[in-house]
Amino acid sequence: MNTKQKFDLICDTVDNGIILLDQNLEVHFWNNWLVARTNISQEQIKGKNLQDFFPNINKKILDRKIKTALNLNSPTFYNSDINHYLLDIELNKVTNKVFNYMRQGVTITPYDKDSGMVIIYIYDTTLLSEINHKLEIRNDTLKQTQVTLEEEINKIELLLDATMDAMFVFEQDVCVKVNELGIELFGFESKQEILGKQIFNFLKNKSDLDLTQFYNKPFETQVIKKDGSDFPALIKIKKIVLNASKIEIMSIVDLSELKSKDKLIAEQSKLAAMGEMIGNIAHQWRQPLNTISTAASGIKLLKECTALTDSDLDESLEGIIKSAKYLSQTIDDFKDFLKGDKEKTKFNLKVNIKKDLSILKGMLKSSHIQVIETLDSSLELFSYDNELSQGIINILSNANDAFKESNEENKYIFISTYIKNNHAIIEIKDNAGGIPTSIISKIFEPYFTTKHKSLGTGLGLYMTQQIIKQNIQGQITVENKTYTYENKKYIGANFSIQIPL
Amino acid sequence: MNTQITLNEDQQDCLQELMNIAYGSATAAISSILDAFATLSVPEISIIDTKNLKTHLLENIEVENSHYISSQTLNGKIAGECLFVIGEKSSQNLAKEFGFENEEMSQNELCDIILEITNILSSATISKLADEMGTNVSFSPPHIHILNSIENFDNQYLEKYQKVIVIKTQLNFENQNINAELLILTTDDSIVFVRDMLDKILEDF
Repeated sequence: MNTKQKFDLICDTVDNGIILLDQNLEVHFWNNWLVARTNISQEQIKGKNLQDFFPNINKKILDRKIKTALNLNSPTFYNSDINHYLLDIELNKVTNKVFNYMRQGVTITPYDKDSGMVIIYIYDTTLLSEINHKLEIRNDTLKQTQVTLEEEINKIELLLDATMDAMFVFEQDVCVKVNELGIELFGFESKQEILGKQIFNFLKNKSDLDLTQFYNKPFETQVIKKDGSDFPALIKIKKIVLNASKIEIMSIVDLSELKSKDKLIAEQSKLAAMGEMIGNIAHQWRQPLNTISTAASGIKLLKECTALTDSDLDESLEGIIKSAKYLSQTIDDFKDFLKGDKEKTKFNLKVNIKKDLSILKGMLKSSHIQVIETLDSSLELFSYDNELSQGIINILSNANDAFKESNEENKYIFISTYIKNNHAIIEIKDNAGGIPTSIISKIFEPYFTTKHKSLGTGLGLYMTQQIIKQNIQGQITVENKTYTYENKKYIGANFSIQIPL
Repeated sequence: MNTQITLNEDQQDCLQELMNIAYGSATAAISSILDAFATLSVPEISIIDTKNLKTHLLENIEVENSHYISSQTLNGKIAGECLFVIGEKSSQNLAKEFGFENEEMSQNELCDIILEITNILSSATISKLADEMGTNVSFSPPHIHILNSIENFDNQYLEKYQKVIVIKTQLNFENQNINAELLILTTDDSIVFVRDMLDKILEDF
């Protein structure tokens, strides 16, 4: 094989295009690689101007690059990213075609400076360019996704800061996010102080607590601030698993204010109860005061007429003493009632209800309400005697008020007690027409009242519920009942108190 | 192999001298190709730790906010990378030298010109330097990045090298306000080669 044959073999088997070109763009050599891809044979193009076959060539750039290569005696280049291609060669590819023309990297190497000849090497970079192109598209999509994600994160952070709860996010038991309120509520100065802490660092005396029991269920507990002080809070922990890591979102509501509000309501309610009591005392005192007044006036009149006998005097004084005793008794009853209980005691439920009714005797009498009792005299409770009385009296006063709005001629209050499912049940039912269905679910809410402002504070039934639920540990429910009594049909509210025995 | 990668005063002087010659030939090449009188400022040579390269570029390159960085890989005994850094405004002025008017020039054409000038500068200077040192350098086609700041400069492989020789020069054209920097960054092995060659030249001298 001679040198020429070797040269031809190499040029015709190499996997890139080779052109021998002079400064006038006349082709002197055109290898097989180009023949196969352009369908232009060596014979057709040799001695011709390259531009005759490829009129789209940018002559200015090609001229410059050839001139530079010759001048520098060093190669110049076409970059396939920027120039795309030198020769417009349509790609034979059928599927998955991204570009119509072959992308080319081109190197122009000086061949002979004197004759102004250069060798042009053409590399097919289509595959690389396609990958680049696809990458760019994917990159754009990624960027878009990133922007969207960032926006979402911003929104979430805004949401976190806008919420009224303090929010903490724990990843693998370690705090990774906290909102502004969380920092403030716990008395910290910056996020950094909180990040890295664990849930238990915030809960008082709860280091051995099994949190899994509290997932998704709000619970009340004392939480610890940075300075070590604590406050009551409502906590809810939600657990999610993301990318195999455990994430817990804890929201905290400060209950201090709510708790103090509760206290205030209790105080207001006590005052309201006292007000009602004074009304009741007035009712109950009218009768004995009348008796005293009448007896005293009688004695005075008889004495003026000098007709006062010893027996008259004794009788009148007896009446006065009896009435005074009664007045004193009433005060004792009310005093006990208002005092509240410090300790649980054992007491008879019937005796308790009797006492309640005696306190309200005056009120019930003046409202012409008949009380029908079905009381189990053996029922004993171990609870707070006076607190229960307060609750029952509230319900009875409420029934009394309800009758003011009704036109019912025969006014009844039915009180019955019995044992059911190991609970003592107290039912208080009236025939005042029942509670409108639109408000029946709200009557235990604080400050809810249907009465004119001068009549009610809206605290009576709320406090009754608080007493029954929190102090007595029982339940109170209300419903409207339709029933028959002495062959007449009535509708009324039925309050039911259930106390565990 | 001596791993202590520094140049002493003599070696640095010698390299400076060689670079002056190389830049002289590059200037001549540019002037002849563009038919315009171009000057390259006397190159400043420094050897810096690779980890300081970014800071060095930030401090030493006076470029407008947006700029082009083109890079060309050098292969052979003198291996490394040529970086050509040019600002937006200067590159437009440069394009005028190549016979483009502003309105007819696309971003790609502008990039092509920057690549061209990078190739011219690196070929002219490095070829000459390699020639003086009796070796050859093969140039890979240059690539270009458009950066909005050097901060975005991707330097994840910089750790591979301890030191780089930074050869900084300014390209100026008559009547045109063109400011650009050419930096030649060479690898550790090349620095050792260059140093050995410098010693040889110094001996012959």
